Amino acid sequence: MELLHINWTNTLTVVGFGFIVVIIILTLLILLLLLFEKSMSFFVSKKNHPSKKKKNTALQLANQHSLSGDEVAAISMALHLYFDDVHDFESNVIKIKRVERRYSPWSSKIHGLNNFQK
Amino acid sequence: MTKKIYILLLFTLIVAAVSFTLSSQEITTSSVQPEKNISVIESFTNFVNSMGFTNMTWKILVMLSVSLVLLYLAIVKQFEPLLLLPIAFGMLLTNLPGAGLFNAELFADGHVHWDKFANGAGLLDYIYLGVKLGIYPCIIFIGIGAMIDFAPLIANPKSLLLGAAAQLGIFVTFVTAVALGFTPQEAGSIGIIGGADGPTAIFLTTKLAPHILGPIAVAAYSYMALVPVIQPPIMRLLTTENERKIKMQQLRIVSKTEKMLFPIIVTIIVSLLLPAATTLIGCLMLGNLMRESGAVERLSKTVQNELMNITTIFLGISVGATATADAFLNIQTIMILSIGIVAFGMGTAGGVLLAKFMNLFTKNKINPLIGSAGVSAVPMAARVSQIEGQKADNKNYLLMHAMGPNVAGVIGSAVAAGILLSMLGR
Repeated sequence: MELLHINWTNTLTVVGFGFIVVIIILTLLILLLLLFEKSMSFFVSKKNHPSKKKKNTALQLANQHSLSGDEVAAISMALHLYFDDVHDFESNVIKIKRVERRYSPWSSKIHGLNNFQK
Repeated sequence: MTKKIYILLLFTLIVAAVSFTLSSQEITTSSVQPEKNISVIESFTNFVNSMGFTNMTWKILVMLSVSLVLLYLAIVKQFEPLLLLPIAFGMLLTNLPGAGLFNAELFADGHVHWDKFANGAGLLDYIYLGVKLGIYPCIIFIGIGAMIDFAPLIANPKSLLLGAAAQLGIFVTFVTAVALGFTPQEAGSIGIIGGADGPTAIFLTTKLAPHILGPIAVAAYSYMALVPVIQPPIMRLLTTENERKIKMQQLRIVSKTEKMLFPIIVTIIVSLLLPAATTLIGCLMLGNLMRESGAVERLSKTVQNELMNITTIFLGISVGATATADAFLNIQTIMILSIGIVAFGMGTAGGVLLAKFMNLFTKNKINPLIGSAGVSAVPMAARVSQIEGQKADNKNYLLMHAMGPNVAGVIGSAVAAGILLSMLGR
């Protein structure tokens, strides 16, 4: 098939074959990843089997990866609200408060100066 | 005191005068061949002729202007400055007449003429060897691998399909380029611009059509910088408001073991299926394994920073150096730049359309906006998906979902480059 002096058979072979190979290779990788995911979850579930569990610590619970997105969001929100409440509420009004100090030899300027300077 | 100094100075002058007289007498008696008299006028003429100003042509002026425009885009407009700046400066250096920094004849006919190197090669000739021998793109790929987190891809393997669909641009552009009269090798190199992956484009072009490396590198990096401008109109055109609002399911957490095994498995599988892609995929996955293993923290940091930066400088300067007036100022360059933008557009469209198609069959809907991230350009394309998604619904966070197709695009474009290399390589 020649048009404009171009061998279209070769061109379309490169395009068709090339694109199909890209799709096939990446699809194979998808299958591998899915297989991978299944096997990993199998190992994780085997590891976390009740008979093998020693203590149901908080760390183990966190590592189970079984929390859904909504649960994570709810916990985060609760923590945020809790820690937000802990802080003191500040009025953001700043005033200069004048303090009148009673005389004391400890704060006296006269006693602080060097009287012996010549 | 001063008298002593005067006497010392006088003595020194007398000694110098006597030694000069003796030495000049010796020279006149011992020299066999009379030294050629240097004519002031001749020297001046030679000097003027060697000046760059006298060798200036309109082509060189245009090339210098192009390099200045690119420098402006890199510095002021921040268009991929890390690469565009060295490329533009390399272009400036190579087009300075008489400097002889880069000699294209040393790399004529796609071969390195080692014999001519002995006769005097320029600095950029030596630096260019790293591009010509395919070293720099591979080192950069190691660095990219060390920067990429494949977790979003492992968590959602379907995104690999979006990465594959976005490679549509490469093959459509290949046909377009062939129809416009380019050879299949040149067309393959032009098509890879659609992969939106600079190192892959440079790697493939040096293997298939090294004479068009300059325009291809400039097109690839310029369009990569223009991803936020090129992609959004295509994304909006191909999707509805409701599709853009689709919220995707939260990705699962990927374990460290999975992240570590992923680069090893991908390298083995892809290399066995397509040996021509081993160089790029192998380097990418080597960098990623360094990152994920955690055993070689120092090496991982080095490839991400120092090694990557040094190589980027060399790659940029030497690629820019190939853009000589003769190689750049022709109709081919204009065509390459025009087809390149089509390649980007087609890649974007391919990803978005496949995401829409997948929504017809899948239970968990995919936001088609993440499909556009399938054209590598990490992480710019993913960021564009996030921004467009938030324009439709400001509570929709697509970034991590878009990172899946984005990194899949890097693998996809490397695989596509391997295929083109195996089919079109000489």
